[in-house]
Amino acid sequence: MGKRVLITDDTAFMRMTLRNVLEKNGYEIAAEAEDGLQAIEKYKATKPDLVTMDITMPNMDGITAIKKIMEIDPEAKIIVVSAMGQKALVIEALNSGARDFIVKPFQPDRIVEALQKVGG
Amino acid sequence: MEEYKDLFLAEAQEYIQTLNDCLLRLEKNPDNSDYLAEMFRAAHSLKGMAGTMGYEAISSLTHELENMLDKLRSRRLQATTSLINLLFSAVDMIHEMVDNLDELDKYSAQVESIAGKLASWSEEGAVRPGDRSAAKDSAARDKEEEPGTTIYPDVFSELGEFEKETLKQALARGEEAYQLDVELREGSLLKSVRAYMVLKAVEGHGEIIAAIPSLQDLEEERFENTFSLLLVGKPRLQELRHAIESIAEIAGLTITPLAEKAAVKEAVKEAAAEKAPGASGVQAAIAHKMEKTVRVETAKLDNLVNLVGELIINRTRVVELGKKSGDELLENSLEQLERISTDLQNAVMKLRMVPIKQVFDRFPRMVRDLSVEKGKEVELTISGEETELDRTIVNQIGDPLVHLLRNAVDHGIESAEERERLGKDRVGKIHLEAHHEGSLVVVSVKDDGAGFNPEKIAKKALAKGLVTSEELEKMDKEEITQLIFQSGFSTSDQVTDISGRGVGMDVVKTAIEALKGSVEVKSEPGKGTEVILRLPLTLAIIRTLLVRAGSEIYAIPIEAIRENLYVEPKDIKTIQRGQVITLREEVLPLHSLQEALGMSKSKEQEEYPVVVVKAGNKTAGLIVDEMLGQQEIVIKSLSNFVNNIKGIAGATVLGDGRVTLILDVAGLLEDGRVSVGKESVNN
Repeated sequence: MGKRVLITDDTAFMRMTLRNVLEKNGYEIAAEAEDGLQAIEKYKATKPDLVTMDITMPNMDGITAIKKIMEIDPEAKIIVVSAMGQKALVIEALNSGARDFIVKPFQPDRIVEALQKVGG
Repeated sequence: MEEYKDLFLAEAQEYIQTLNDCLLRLEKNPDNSDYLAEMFRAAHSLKGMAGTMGYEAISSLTHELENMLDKLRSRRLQATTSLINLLFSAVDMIHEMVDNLDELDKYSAQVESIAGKLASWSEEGAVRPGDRSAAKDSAARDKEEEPGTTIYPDVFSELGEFEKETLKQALARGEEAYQLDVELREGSLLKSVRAYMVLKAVEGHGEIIAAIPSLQDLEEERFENTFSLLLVGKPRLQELRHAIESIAEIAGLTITPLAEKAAVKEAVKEAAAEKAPGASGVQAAIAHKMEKTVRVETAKLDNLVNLVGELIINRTRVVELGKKSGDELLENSLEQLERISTDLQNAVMKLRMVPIKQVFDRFPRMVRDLSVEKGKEVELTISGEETELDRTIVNQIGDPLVHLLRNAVDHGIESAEERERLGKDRVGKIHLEAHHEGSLVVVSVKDDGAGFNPEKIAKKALAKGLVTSEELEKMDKEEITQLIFQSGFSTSDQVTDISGRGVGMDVVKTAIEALKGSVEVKSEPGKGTEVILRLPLTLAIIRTLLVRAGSEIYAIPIEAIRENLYVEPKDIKTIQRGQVITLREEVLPLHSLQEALGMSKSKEQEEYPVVVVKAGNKTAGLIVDEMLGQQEIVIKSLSNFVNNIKGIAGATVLGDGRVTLILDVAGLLEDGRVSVGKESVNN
């Protein structure tokens, strides 16, 4: 059985793209979250194996969400999905506990590679 | 992907230039591994970029090129002239494809042919492949990566005094040293963060005492896809390897133990001994260059120039108002404002300036090819390539210069045998030079070849009906030489592939004049030819003569003006419904500027100010109401609604806020509204 992934992104388009790519590559989508707050709730509810996390989102941004999730589960495996040019934010996310990152617009094989490497 | 196309184009051009440059240098020093290394890097990057963009044809050809370079680099092949020619043709092919990205399909046959040649060459030429692979097996237990796909710099040759000291102390403490070569996937984004992740993964395994590129460059993303780190400490190697390899987009990792302390010490010593330029010199030069430049879209620059233009116009206005007010304090601070804004203007204008090197760079290669093709021995020397001028001008002088250089090789320089017979050096010399001369840039192409033969030119001009024999008699040698600029003239007896496709110096002249420049030829039979181009530094600001016609003020570009005079009504004669005056025994058509622009005629005066203008070989006198004096103006182009008016080149805003039209003299004279010199009078 495939690993279960929680997708966090405020745009429906990006969530759909990620869902398609991941499902095609044998991952199961545990849940989708539209902002940091939902991500925390759904993390608690579904205990996914992996999380993809957008940085800029309404209500609660990705970095805050990463910190909170890491408090709940220090073993959480979070991958940041960032837009280009967010270098400082990506580094902050990594320092907050994210395992890796990919840059939008991404190529499908890159996200799969990152998930595989982080998922072990 | 489209959005990356511009970036791809810009970078690809740079890599192609690198390949060309290095090939030229390699031809002279076939054993220099720095050039090979640099070319290999360029080809490798180009391949990756083309692959990411989906340009299969380019990436497959660069792949073969890269393989070949790898073989040269590892000394499995010798860089012979014929091989270098093949490499040149491969680079040319790539260049052509990069220029025609939309039609890559049509190149597939050519690409296949060149790639095939590269591949089969490798097989023929392979020297003792056995020795090499055997040596490799024993050398690196740790290297599983495909050999030779990446160039890793030698970290040691880059060590400074401080790092060497640190390394020595660490070794003395019994720590080990490792070189870590990391390769990122092609097209990785936010590479600096990847590097950061690698550094984080290394934390706890030891200390990074050196990095290539430097840590700062890594942080600021000034590197391609590879970087190397020198780690000292007692790392748990498997753990370290795993930590780095589990980072996304890491394509390769080589950990080379520098276990034998003697070897390390020796390396350190060697590094100290050969501080001379070598691989490190080239790298340092590249790093240095990168640090000093920022890539900016040209549209942004143009916008900035435009804004400063507006600022200057408004400043002039404010300053004028200030002077009127008589307030001394205000005037003082306005003076300050004037100074600063002038400085700003100069600084911004400089931003538009690019070194003429950009154009010159391609010529050594071109002259080499031409001389090979013509079987002549030619040496091209270049000086003043750092001379800067406006980007738009730089972009447009390439073709005229190509033409001049072709002429020099094709017609100027004699064959080696001929030269020997004449007691000249076998090798013909062409010197390309650029320098500033006041507000002009002078570019000259000088050869020590046969020079123009005035008799031949005269004969030909006569045969082509460009001059009459009476006219010829009056001309001196200088004037005869200038005949080559007449349209329809070509000095070559036979049309060759290189130059003389029925076009000649007249095309050069037209192109340079379109840039508001001028061309001059100096030639001595048997000794050589020098063609001198004079170009303005910039096209954004021009010197003009302001004139009043009716209630309007117009600006006439100075370089279009031949002279100014005052004409009395009694000197004006009427021929065929047109007005003319006789000026130094020549008939000069005369026109009211107002009428020419379709407005009512100006009223009778005792004396008319006349501006004699010239465009190409046409001249005419423009009657105006008043000449107001010279002024430098910033050109503003007209909006799309009105940009096609013949006779008007643009507009500017004067200090008092009035909008003034800039006359396009060439357009005015061509339009037919104004009858012009010689030709039309004869009709």
